[in-house]
Amino acid sequence: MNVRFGVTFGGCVIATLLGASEAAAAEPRTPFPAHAALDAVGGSPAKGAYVLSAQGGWPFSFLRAQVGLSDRITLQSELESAVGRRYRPMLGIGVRLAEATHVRLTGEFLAGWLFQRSEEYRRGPNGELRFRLAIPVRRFVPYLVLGTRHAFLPDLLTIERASGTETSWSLRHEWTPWATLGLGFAISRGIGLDLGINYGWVGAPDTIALPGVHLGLHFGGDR
Amino acid sequence: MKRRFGKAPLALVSALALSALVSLDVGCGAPPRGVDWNGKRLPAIDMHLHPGDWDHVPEDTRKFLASRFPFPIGLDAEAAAKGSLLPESILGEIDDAGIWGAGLFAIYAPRTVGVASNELVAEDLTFAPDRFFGLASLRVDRWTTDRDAELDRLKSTLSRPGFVGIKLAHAHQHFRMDDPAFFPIYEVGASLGKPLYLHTGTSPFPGTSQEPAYTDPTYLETAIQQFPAATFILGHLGYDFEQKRHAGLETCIRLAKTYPNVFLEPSALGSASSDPTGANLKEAMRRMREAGITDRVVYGSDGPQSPGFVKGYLERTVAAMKDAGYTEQEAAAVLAGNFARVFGVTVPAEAAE
Repeated sequence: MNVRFGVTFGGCVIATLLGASEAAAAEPRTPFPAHAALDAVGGSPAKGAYVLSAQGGWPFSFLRAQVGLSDRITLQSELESAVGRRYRPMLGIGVRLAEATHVRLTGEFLAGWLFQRSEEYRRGPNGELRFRLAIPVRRFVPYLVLGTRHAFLPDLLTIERASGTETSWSLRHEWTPWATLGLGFAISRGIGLDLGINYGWVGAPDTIALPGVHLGLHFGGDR
Repeated sequence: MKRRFGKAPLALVSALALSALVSLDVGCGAPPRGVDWNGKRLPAIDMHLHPGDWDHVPEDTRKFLASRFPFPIGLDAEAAAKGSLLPESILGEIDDAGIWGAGLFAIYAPRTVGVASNELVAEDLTFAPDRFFGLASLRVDRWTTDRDAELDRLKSTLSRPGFVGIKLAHAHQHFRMDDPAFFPIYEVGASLGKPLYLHTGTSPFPGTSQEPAYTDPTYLETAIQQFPAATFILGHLGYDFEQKRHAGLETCIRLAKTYPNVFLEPSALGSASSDPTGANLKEAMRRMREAGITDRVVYGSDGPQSPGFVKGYLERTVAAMKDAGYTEQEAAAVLAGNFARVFGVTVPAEAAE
């Protein structure tokens, strides 16, 4: 199913790119003052602007929406999936911490819930603090995301004895340091792409995690 | 700018094609057999591999195993485990590691690590009859009523082609190492000339009997004395997998030095999760050499666990031997020679070329 999604998603990206090339030729040459690719990968679109992102990859895929509440503050929601077995719906805010011609730094805080369907069910509140550093150069936007995620997983233990049933709750902490290194590309002011390498060390430091990749498509507007 | 922009779709298609290509297995043939030891290739046999049936693994143990897979493989542990436990996968893993032969363990521990039946192992042996060697096991959880039937079944299994030994795990099967009620199992091993592999040390698996009588190799000494014709291979060197430290190493070395029917096997204790710094495996290999018992050490990994584990464990062990100053003859004995001698197996020339 994930493979099929990936193929379909990739096809959409190619079709969009090919279809957009003619329209894009009419766009102003460069640089864009702000564009969907920059807002998506660098975060914090300006007041009234929005950007919708779909990033498909392995093991993580994302759907993300951001809307600028002011020139510095952004409301955002995000749904992350890991191979269709682990989901994180999140809601949060982004704050533009710094911006210059070729730099945008954004801090983001999100909170939500973790659902994992596997041999071990994991469910619980989840929060993330992350920073996005984007360096727009013409249509290209190299970017880096560094984050720290924390999930709190409640466990209910029930012991049935002849003398009665005992129940007790315990709480586990799951830490996930996160890093993404990628490159965004503006097809037009309203349409962008990105390609990135992700490393989410789920359950650090007691686990081993494999790195992943994603390809993203971004739409923005209302500036 | 316009020209550059026109090439973007082509660049993207190329990138997609490249990513598709790198996801394909385009190996350039199997790696050479054997272990490189100062330019010479030494044959290797991994005596400790687990085929299995995921459906017969208890729920808590499935969770434990899933947690050992790298993320995100563990999210679908069933698919990963089912794949890695198949005989073709095991053969692929040992081929990747350059290993020629492998011992496949049956196990009957329904409350801890699960069941891999003698029948399953017998079927798997047919996949590579020249390179797979079976170790049979038996149920001991209804010993008072089923003892004779279980012993008969064990003898019958050991008479089948490819079965070279017996596998027991007191801690997982919940019977004391010094309980004479179970000594008839050692008697079977002695009378049929089939070496017994015994798990020693604690275990990370849920439901294990961790008390010393089930884990401390000291408790085996009575049986070792009483059955001099039986060969005892003490697996994991009495390692404490809970605290990730040596616990029974010196006892194992003493038993091997004292009794000629005792051999040692250093599997699992040197894995990345059980020995994060690699110091404990190095210490074990060094101590065994210092004690002059390299002719009693039989190599095993306790794989396949996860893809690449079999190869990685061999590399760690070889590095530990080099670090401890093993000679070529000593390394050759540990990697294959001792197994061949103990189990009566002939290692062909193509095992290292």
